[in-house]
Amino acid sequence: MTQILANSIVYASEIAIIAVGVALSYSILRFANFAHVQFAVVGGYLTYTFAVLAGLPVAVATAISMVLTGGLAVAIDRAVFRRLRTISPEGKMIVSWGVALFIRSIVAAIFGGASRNFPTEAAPLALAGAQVTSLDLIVVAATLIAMVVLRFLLYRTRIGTALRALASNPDLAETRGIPGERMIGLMWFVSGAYAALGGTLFAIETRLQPGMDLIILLPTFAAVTIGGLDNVFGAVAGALVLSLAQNLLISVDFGTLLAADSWYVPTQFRDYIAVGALVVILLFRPRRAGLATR
Amino acid sequence: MVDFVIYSTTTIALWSVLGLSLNLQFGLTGLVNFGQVLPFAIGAYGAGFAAVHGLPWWSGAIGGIVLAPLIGLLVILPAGRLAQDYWALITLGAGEIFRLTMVNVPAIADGIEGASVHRLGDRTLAMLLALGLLAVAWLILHRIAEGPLGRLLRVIREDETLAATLGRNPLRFQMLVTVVAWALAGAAGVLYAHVTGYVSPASFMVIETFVIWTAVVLGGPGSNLGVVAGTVLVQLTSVSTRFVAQWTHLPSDLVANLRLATFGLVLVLVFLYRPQGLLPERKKAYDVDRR
Amino acid sequence: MLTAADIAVAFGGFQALRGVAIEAAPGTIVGIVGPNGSGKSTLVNVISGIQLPDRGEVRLNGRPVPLGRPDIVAAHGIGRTFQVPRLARRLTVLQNMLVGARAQVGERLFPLFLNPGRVAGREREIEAAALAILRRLGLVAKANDYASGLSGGQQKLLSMGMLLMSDPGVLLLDEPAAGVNPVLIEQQVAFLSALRVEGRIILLIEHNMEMVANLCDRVYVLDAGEVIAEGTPAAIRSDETVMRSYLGQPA
Repeated sequence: MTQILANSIVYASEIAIIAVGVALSYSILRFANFAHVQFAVVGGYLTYTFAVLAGLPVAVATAISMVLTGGLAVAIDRAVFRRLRTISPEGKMIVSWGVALFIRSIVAAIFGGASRNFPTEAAPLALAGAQVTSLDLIVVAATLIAMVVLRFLLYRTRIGTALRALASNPDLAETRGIPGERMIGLMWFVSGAYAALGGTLFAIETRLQPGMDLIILLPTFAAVTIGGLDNVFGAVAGALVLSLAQNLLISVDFGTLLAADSWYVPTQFRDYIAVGALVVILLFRPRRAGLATR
Repeated sequence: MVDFVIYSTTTIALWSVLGLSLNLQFGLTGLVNFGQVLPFAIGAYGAGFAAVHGLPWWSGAIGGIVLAPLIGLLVILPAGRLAQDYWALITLGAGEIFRLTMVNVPAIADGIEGASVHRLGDRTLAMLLALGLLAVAWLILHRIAEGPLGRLLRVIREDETLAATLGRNPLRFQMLVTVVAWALAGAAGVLYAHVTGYVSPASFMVIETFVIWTAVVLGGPGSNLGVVAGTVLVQLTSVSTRFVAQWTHLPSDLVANLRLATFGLVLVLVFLYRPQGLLPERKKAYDVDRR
Repeated sequence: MLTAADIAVAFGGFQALRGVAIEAAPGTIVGIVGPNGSGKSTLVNVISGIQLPDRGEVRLNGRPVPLGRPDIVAAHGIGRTFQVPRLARRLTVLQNMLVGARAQVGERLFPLFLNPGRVAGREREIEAAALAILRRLGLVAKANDYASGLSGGQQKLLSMGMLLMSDPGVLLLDEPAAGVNPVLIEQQVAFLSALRVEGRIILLIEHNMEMVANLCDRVYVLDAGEVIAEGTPAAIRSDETVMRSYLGQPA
């Protein structure tokens, strides 16, 4: 059981860092940004470039990658989304797919489709009866620190409070003199930087490849949806719930439970949980009060 | 060269049907379907299932064409209660659930390996069938778009509440549109399976949906001619990747990725600078003085 | 006879309507006035089926009208306009009018393909009807313009025209005169008077007290979700309760 818990926490950490960015952008810009997972991919590749190709320490490389990716996110907002503030949420989603396709393809064009590995040594450890690696601990630690920083930023700084005001009531925030566009730029920077961190951790734990985006996409959106779409820390909880559900599903010996031969759910069925959770929660979300029709 | 023309025409015809299908849903009725690959896959897998289980090819064809709209109805039902951006996520999920099932349940059609299907040896016949399907799709879509039904669909697209207060049930029409659109896409899927001779989950990934979207957005949502034009451009780019690679001496992987990057860029640029697309929906003017 | 009884609606913590009852007889124009936020639009939203009430019922000629189903409400011959006109902006004025007509055989898939003659015949009928109404409204010159190209006042007229296409027994009008120039308002008044003569039921939400005084046979005054007064326009004007509460400025 502790092993399941340990695995879940590690996986959830990687997803959570990426998911908070989606929730942030949903809360402020009110659309599902599909380009977000691409920032994770870009971040992973940038870290790889600086760490492996330029020989910098991984932590430094990650930091540089976070800043650059944050900057990229801001640049994309300025170039694309800023000019489309008034179109429908569906329109913004479609455009974000276009951005996603562009970023992903450029990354694949530059680095090729083959997967690469970070040359990190992972020392196996035993912790409270579960097998983990030193890498796992780093991932979880990094996530915890990142969440603490985010919480501090959003709840204890003036800028963060302004961001939350903007999220809950955009018009009111503007009339109170909070410069919406600057806040939006900050939000993109934070989202991009966090995505880069998440992508780096994910790539270090598993593999670095352009196809990462599709592997991350559904679990990320499932986590965000479980957590309540525009709820930043809800996304973290959502990642945990999702991860636990996935790992529990494949660990339970349903066979013996049903008084038959030992049978486990095949590991690939984990993906169903993410997609299934996404669909089910969207279907049964309480509808916004108001009009009987949309 | 002739082979290439036949191949391109067949490809363009099939993808045009998919584009027209999406146009009916999105261009005319405002349904943001991010799972357009799903009915296509259902059709193809109908053929695949029949082939794997030793059933006659026509049973697979009929099965695929009938199953696609049925699943479509399942997917469209929540659209009445949900905002379009949420419903889009559900369509994305639905497409992925299907693909995962095909991967994880090899009993259906050989799982991730893919299944062989009877391949139409006569490539000209394949092309003619594809063109025939396109003609049928065109006739259906054209009549719908130009007639009173199309007018009502556009009102539903613009304002569902308005349509409701005018006495129509928007969900009923969204269901109708889904049935027609998904049946056409399913038929394209069946034909695709027999043209390529092969069905595998890798052919039906999320990216395929967005290639169709690029064609629709580029060509002109709401305009059937625009959507076909967009498909022609997008698919010509796709089939000529090989030649561009040879001509520029670049590896074909790289060219393929650059092509996809261009599609992404096109999607963004169209939204920024020409949201109505290349061949926009035309205004329907009446002869007022006749009366 | 249109009756609404005990209509209550709450949005979260806010009680928009607290058990409102009104009735409107055929061949009359009933006004609904009151300050902003008093629940006038919410009441019309409930009657037209767009807003599901927490309790209450609506009846037309004694028979209950389903709540929360705007399409079924419309099928009962109850039509409405909106305070901010709802139009299909990317369709032309004439096309908007054409959608207003009911029983369009061309909207059904099989007749569309199998009976084009009948579809074309019905199209000609409703085109003629639409052009006739557009002429009465003075909008026929704009028939082939996109609806988005009309001025605010013209859009309101178009909304009324669309409403008329379905030959409704009951018309619910949400501030038809707001933001409209006096000439067009006069046109609306003449129009509505003619409709009253035809025996229709007209419910008129308005801030324009002159219009209400000239047109309405009966007025309900709403404030904070309740009916605080009802009667003829003259009686309302001298009612103390009404005077004490904020009545709403003349246009």
